[in-house]
Amino acid sequence: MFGPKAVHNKDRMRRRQGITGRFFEGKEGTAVEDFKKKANFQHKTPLFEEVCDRLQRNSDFRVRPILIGQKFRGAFAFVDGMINSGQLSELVMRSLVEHRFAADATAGDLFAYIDGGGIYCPDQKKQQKADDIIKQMLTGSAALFLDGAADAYTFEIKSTFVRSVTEPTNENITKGGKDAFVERWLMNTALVRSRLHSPDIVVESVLAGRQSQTNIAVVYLKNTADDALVQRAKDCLSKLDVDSISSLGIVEEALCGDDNSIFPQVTNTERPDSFCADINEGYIGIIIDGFPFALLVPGNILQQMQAPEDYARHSVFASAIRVLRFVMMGITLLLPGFYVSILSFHQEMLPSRLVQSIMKARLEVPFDEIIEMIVMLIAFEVLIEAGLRMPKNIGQAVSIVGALIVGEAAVSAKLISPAVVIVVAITAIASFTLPSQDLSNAVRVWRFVLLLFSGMLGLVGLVIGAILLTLRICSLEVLGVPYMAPLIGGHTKTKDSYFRRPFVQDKKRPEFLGNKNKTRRVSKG
Amino acid sequence: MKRNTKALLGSLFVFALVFSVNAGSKTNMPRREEITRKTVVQAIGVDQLEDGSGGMRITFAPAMSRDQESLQGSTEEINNVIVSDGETFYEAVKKAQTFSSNTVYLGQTDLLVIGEAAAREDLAKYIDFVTRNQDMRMDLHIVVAKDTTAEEVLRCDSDDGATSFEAIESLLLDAGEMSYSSEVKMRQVVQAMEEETLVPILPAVTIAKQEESKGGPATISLVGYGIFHDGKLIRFLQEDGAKAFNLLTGRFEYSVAVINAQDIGKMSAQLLNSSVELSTDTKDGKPAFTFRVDLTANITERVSNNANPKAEELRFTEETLHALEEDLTNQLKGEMERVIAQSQSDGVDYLGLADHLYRSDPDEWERVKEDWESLYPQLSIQVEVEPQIQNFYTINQGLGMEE
Repeated sequence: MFGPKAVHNKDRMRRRQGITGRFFEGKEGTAVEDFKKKANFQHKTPLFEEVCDRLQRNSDFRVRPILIGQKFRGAFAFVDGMINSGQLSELVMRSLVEHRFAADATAGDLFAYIDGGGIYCPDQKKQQKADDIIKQMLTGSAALFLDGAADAYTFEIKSTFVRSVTEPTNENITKGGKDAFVERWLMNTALVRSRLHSPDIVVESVLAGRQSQTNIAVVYLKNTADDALVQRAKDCLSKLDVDSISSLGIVEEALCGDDNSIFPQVTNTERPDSFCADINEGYIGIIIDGFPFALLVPGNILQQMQAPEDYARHSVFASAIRVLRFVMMGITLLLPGFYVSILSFHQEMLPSRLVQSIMKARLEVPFDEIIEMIVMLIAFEVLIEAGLRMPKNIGQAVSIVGALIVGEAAVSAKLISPAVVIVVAITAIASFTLPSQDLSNAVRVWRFVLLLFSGMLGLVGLVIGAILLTLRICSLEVLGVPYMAPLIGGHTKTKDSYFRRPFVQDKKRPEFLGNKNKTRRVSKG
Repeated sequence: MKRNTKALLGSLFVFALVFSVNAGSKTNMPRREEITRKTVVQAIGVDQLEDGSGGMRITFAPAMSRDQESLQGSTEEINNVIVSDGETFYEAVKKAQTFSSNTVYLGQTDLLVIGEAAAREDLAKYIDFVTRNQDMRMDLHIVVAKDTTAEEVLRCDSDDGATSFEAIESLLLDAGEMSYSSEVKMRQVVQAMEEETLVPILPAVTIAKQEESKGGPATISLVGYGIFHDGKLIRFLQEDGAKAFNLLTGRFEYSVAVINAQDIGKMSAQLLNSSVELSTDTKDGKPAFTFRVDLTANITERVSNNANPKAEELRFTEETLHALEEDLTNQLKGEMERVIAQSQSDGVDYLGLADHLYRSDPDEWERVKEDWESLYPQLSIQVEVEPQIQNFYTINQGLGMEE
C-alpha cells in the first residue's frame, strides 16, 4: 500500500488530473511557435515574435487571434488580469471585427481606419518597438499585432481591480471630505483636479524603479510654486535609481536633505483636500503610483503640527488646540527626563508632601529611577508594536492585558513605582496628540536620548540634550528650505504658524517657500 | 547636513558625555542620589548649648510617616527628632550623619525654630549656615521659641497626631484669624538684617502646658512676635500688643474686640478690612509721623444684661453706633499707643518708620539717619483710628431680655 508502487500510482493520478508539479514546460522558443500557431499569422511578424519570445515564460501572458473585418488577420496580446476583458471585447474587438472593409481594402486602409479613430478606445498608440509594447502591456494595455505588419497598436484598457475611493483611515475629520487617495496615481491626480480646477495645476510624471517602472507625479501650481524648488524636487526624483519603488520611504529618502535625521522631512497625507490646500500654499506634491498617500515637500515642523480639522473648527478653538499640541509635544519629549532628573538630582524642587508620597511609594522598589523609566518606556514601545501587528479582534485584549494587568502587577510586586506608571501614561497620551505619526516616532526616539542625558546630569543634562535637539532640527534643510522655517531663516511668520487666525486675516502665503504669488485671495466682500 | 554643523554637534555630544562622566567627582554639578536613601528634614531647631561653650544644638525633625519609624535604628530617632551638637551649625549637621541611617537632607526644610536663649545671644550666628547653604530654601518659615527651647518645641506633638511642624505650619496659616502674629520667611529676615531701616521680627511660639489637674498633652501655641535689635532678641509682643503692632504695620487681617459701651452693654465685634496710612511731617525740626488706621467692625453678639435698666430699650440707632465706635476707637488707639511707647522706650524702630521715611523722603532720611537711634525715642508719633461698624444684623435686643 505504501511502497514504491503506491508512489508511482499517485504520480499517475496527478498527471491524469493535469497536475505536473512543474513550471514552464517548454524549451525556450517553443512557446513562441505555439503562440504563432494560435495567432495563425501567414507572414512573418517580427514584432509579435519578439514580444512572445520575451514573455513566453509568463503564465498570464495571453494571445487571442482576431479576424478584422472578416479580412485581416490580427492577434491581441495582453497580460491576463491587467486589462479589462469586457472592455477589450466591447470597445476594441467589436469595432474591429464588425467593421466592413471594401473588398479591395489593403493593410493601409486598415491602418487608416485605426488611426482615424475607428476604435472605441480613448488611449491608443502606434508602437514600433517591442520594449514599448511590453511596457504598455505591463501597465494595462492590450497590444494588437497585424499579420506581417512592422507596427503594432496598444490600447489602454486597464483592469478595474483598483480599489474605489473610500474614507481616510488615519485622517478622518467630521467636517471635511470623506475621500482619500487610492493606489492608482491617475485616479489621485483626478481627485486633485476635481478640487483645484485651475489650469495652472501642473502634473509632471517620471518613471522610477528599474523593475517596477513606477509612475511618480510631481504636482504644483505653476503660478505659485517656486520654480527652483520644483526643479530641485524633480532633480531628486530623476536621480532616484532603485530596482523597485516598493515603499513610500524610498521616495521620501530621495527627497530628504539628511538621511540620518529621524525627523520627517517630507509630509504625507491621504486626504486630497489637505493635499490641495498645501499645493495652494506653494508646496510641491508628489503622487506615487501604487500608494494611497501623497507626499508634500518641503516638510516643515510647523506644518506637521497642524491637523486638517484645525481648518474645520472655529479659529479660536483651533488655536487653543494647536497650542495644546505644542505643550503636549513638550511634555512627551521632556517629562520622563524631567521626572528622573528631579527625583535623582533635584529633590529640593518637589513640594514636601509630594516627596514624602514618592518616598513611601519607592521604599521597596529595587531599581533606580532611570532604570525604571527606561524599562517602562521600552515596555510601552513593545505594547505599541504588538498592537500594530495584532489582528484587530484581539488587539484590544492585548492592550488591556498589557496596560492594566501587567502594569498593575508590576506595581503590586514593587518592581516599579506608581509614579513612573503615571508619568509614562501621561507621556504616551501626550504623544498621541501629535497629528503626524512620523513626527511622533521621531519624538519617541529623542525622548530616550533626553532621558539618558537627564539620568547622567539631571536638569543640566536635560538642557544639554534639548540644546542638541534644537541644534539638530535647526540645521535640517529640505530642498534648500529650513525645516524649522519660518522660526529660523529670517522669514516672516504667517498668521497660521502657531495660531489659526481667521481666513480673512491670513492673506500671505508662507514666505519661506519662495512663492511667486505671495498673496492669497481672501475676502469677505 | 553641512560638515560644520555635524562637527559642532559631534563635538558637543562628546563634550557632554565626557563632562557627565566626570561631573560628580570633579565639579560642583548636581550628583545623583537615591531619594529613598535620604532623611528628609521638615523642621530644624537651633538652640544654644547650655554648657556655655558657645556651640549649638541642632534638632532635626524628619518628615517620616509613622510606619517608617520602625526602619530607624538610633535611639535618638524614636521621638521623631534627631539631635546633634556641634561648635557650628554645619558641624552639627555632619555629626548627625554618624548616627542617622540615611543622609540628612535639608533641601525640603520648611521651618526653622530658634530657641529663646539662642535668639537672645545672636540671631545671625544661628542662621548664617541656612542663608549660605544652596540646598536650603530661602522661603522657609522661621519662628522663635518663647520660654522654651527649639528642641522641646519640635519634640512636642499635638494630641491629634500632627507633628510639631504640622502644628506650627497650621498656626502660621491661621495666624490672621486673631492677628496675634503672622508668618515670616527667611528671606524677609535676611532682608531686615541687611537693611539699616528694617528690624527683624519673628513670630513667637511657646508650649502651652496644660495644668496637671486638667490632664492632656502640651500644645504649641502662637503667642505674638519676637522683636530683635542688632541681631538679638529684646522683647516679645503678645496678644493685644501683637494685634496693635499688626494694625500699625498693615499685617492685620481679622480679630475680635469686646466693646463695653456705657449704658449699652457688652458687645463682641469682628474686626476686619483694616488699612493703614502713614504720613510724615516735620515738627520742631524732627520728623513727625501719623498713623491713620481705618477698619471695619461687625457686631457679632450682644451679651444680655438685664441688670442694666437701659438695655431693654436698646435700639441700634446712630447714637448707639457712634458710642460703640468711640469705645472701640479708644480701645484700639490705647493698644497702639502702648506699642508705640514701648518701641520708643526700647529705642528700636520696629514699626517701620525709618523704612517709610527712607522711601517717602530720602533727603530727610539722609539728614537724620546717623542720629536715628537717638532721635527715635523723641519723635512725635500719633495714631488716628477710624473704625466703622457696618453690620449689626437684626439684633435689637439680646435673647431673653424683657420687652
